Amino acid sequence: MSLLEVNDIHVYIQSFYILHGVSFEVPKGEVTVLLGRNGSGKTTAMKAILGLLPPRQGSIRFKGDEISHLPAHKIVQQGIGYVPDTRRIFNTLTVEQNLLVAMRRSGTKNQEDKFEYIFNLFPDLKQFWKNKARSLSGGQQQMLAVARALVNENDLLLIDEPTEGLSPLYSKNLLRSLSQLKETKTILLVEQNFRSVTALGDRYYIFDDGKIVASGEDMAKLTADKELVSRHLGVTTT
Amino acid sequence: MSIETSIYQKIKKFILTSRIVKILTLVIILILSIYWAYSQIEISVDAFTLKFGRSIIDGLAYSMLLFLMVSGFFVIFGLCDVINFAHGAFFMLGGFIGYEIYLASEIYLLDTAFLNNNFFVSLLAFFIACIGTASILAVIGGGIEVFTIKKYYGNVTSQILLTIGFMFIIAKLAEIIWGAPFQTFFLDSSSQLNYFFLGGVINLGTGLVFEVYQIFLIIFGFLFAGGMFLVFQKTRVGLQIQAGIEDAEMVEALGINITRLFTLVFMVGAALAGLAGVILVPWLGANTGHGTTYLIFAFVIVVVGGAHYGRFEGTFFGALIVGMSIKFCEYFFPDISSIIVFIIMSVILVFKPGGLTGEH
Ligand SMILES: Nc1ncnc2c1ncn2[C@@H]1O[C@H](COP(=O)(O)OP(=O)(O)OP(=O)(O)O)[C@@H](O)[C@H]1O
Ligand SMILES: [Mg+2]
Repeated sequence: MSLLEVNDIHVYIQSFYILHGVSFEVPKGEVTVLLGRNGSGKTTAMKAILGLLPPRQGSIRFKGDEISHLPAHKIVQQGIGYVPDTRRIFNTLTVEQNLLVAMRRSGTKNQEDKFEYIFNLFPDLKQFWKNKARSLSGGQQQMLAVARALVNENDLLLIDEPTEGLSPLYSKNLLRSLSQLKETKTILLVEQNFRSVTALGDRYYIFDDGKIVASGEDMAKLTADKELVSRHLGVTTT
Repeated sequence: MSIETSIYQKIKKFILTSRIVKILTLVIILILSIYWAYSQIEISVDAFTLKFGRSIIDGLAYSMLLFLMVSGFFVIFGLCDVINFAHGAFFMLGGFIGYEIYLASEIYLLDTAFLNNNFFVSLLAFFIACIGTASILAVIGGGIEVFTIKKYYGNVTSQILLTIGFMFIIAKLAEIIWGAPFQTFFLDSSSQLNYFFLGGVINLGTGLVFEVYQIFLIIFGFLFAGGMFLVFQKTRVGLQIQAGIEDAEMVEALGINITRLFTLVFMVGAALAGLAGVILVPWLGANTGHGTTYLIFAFVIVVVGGAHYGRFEGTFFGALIVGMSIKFCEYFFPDISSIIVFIIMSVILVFKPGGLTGEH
């Protein structure tokens, strides 16, 4: 049994039919990567898991329990951390307050340890601890968005395009931080740039137009299909 | 583009953005209006100073009351994105409920006679009136949210129609019970005690006399603002509300029950309106017409202060500006005291469309 099992979900945004029967699984301790062109439905799949866009049909099981009918906060409380695509940190709060808001009651016991752990991962955050989040650079804001998902004892992290808009150096650092996380957490990752995640990922699903068109555990095997790469991963290989 | 225009642009930018210019302008306007006020009125310097001092105290006290009233309107607007047209009605209703609770508990306390000091009787009765009214309004506000507004989040037109509907219903009910707005209910004329606990005056000699209740209001207002600030900066629920004002869906995605938070905010907002209503009674009485008047003040204060991202400073200063200018005009230019707030609002909308704390 995988930690998360998504089975044939159909998701609508208002009246638009976005996901047409999507199934995938996220085994414990692995990094599962969702790939695909812009608008193919990756973010929608994450929001469906979180309960922000509840599926009209299909099932989502987390730790073996059906969660697709629960409100978002109940789903998240079972141990899911979310790093959204556009960061969505709280600009008017300080770095510290951003993390305090995210910290669930059960997490307040060893608050200091949590913060220490986050400072180790992202030393910048310690430096700007009392600053308003809006004054951080784009990369630091992304660190804060990741840190916000780490203040609780989450089993699963949903991370949506963490390197988007970051300089190559920042992207590399961030992906290194994520690979550190890999040792203790299960991760579902959306990433545009498939090359940057070949070292990180254990399992890949390729989305197109609200469906999964290919999947596999071996990136080399997947990308051997040049036609697939140019059509769905937005790169032409030579 | 010529050099002159770019210099002109720079000067314009400096004038519009510089803090020093803003403060200077304010100070100059203030001095000019005081001078003008003085020149208009044929009284001695001493008498003028006295009148001026009284207008300041009156204005501060009134501002604090307005701040208390508008803060409820503001949290509901900030977090739930609901423009609560019934807020003034909550405030008016709070006044009457507080009035009735005060008189009832006064009789009860006098009967039981475990307090044989009239001062404490009125103090305790007023305290009971405040707590009682706030609780009743919290239930009313929460009930309205849970049973009606909750279903219409994101649907602005329906929300406006709903809250306007409640505004009329509450106003009509109040008129049926307490009569049309031409009668104002005052505590001191209905109370059995010959004085209300804060009914006295502080006499500083040479004609400098302040009503104790106004001093109480000023202190209470500042304490309340400070408390509000602490709640928003230091408590879990305060931080959740601030975060929710920015991005409610993200707050939900962090495992926080945003639906419950919305209901809570509605309850607190209505309770604050009610509390402000009670606190108004010993000073200006309860009147079924207060709902509309104070709803308009709430709008003006939010527009003047700017309602961006839960910035309470804006509302606080908005209330100060509105309260002070109303009272100042009542003393010196009674003719325009009823429209001064609209003049200020128009000026601010022209120069700072986002309000004082706005970004634009
Ligand atoms: N509010 C909305 N109303 C209608 N359609 C929407 C809405 N939001 C998203 N969509 C559509 O849903 C589809 C899937 O969007 P989604 O955000 O899941 O794609 P994505 O794979 O995450 O893309 P990207 O790589 O650009 O982030 C897109 O075709 C998009 O146009
Ligand atoms: Mg996306």
